[in-house]
Amino acid sequence: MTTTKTVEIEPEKYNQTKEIRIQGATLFGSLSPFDVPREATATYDQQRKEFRIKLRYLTPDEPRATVDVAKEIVLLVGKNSGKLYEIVVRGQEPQTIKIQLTAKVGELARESERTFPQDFVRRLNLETAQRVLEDKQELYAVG
Amino acid sequence: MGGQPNLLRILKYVLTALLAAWVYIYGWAAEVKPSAPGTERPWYVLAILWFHFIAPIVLACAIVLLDVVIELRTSQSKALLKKFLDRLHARHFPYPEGGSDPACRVTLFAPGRLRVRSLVLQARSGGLHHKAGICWSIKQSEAERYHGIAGYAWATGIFVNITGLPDYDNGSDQEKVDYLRRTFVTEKELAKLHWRARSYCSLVVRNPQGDKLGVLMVESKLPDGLNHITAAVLTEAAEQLQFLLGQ
Repeated sequence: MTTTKTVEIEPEKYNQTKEIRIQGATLFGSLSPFDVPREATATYDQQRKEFRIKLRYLTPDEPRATVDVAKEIVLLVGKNSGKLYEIVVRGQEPQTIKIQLTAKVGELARESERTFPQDFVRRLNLETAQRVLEDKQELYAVG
Repeated sequence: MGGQPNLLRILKYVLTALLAAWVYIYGWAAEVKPSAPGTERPWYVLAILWFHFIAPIVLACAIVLLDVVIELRTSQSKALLKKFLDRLHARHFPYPEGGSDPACRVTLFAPGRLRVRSLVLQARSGGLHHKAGICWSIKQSEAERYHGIAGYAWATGIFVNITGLPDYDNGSDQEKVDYLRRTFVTEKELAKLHWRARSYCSLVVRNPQGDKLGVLMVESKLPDGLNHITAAVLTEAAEQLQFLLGQ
């Protein structure tokens, strides 16, 4: 049996503005509407023990790349932008994986800060996704 | 923009190539001998020989005509874009007496048809400066030598918000330097700009595949004129622009 739950993501709440210092000047940057997730959908397949969270954007057709962050967690990110599109967890209950999942996405955000220091979209998107995963408890209630 | 003008453009290039090569085509046709005595030369060779005077004129006329059609089609989509920007302007900057606030404006930049590595003006709200020749270099901006706020927004992909800029025209030298540094323009370029806005918001428009299509720019002559414009406020406009610019 598969259960599904969709929650809306309020952009004013999750899209945080950052102060960016560049070439001696200060400006404010935040994610553009194309890079803020608008909705999150969680599905849990009880038979196969497969838990998925999909984030929906205005750019739904971007090619994906897979990132294995843990034994049972696979992330699908945008090939060019690095935005988080989907999380696939196999062999774990939604409630038990919750904390690890949030931590792994946060880790990836910090890693991207090191590897792509100028890529604000990637970092801000992963940070936003982390906040969504932390905040939206309804997503884990599908199990 | 759009699929059909691209097809027309390809046709135009083919015709141009044909016109340029016409002397050689005619020369080749004149040399062709019948394959066997008593038989006639192939029909296309005869056609080239018969029409060799009129063909270049027809080709040239066709190219000019195609150019006119392409121009009309793209300017139609530009007219639609302008209407859209006017509506966006009126909605976010209403004027108490009706209409929209002249101290603000909304502009759309996109890579040019010829200058593909520059952002050129596509459409602008209001009646002024909608043919301004300003362009921002994508090449420079992507090499982190940002060119204009539009160039910065394009290169980084984030929603940029710059407010509280000093008054350039009546400011001290220190304020002028500060203004130039914060807007990524040189003094020479700024002299050519009609407007020295004091706050800017800029946003990259992407297609569903995530590729960049253009830059939406909102400007105000007041240092705090854009405080109510956030990425969330422009979500709907972003979605509609994606559709309007889509190909």
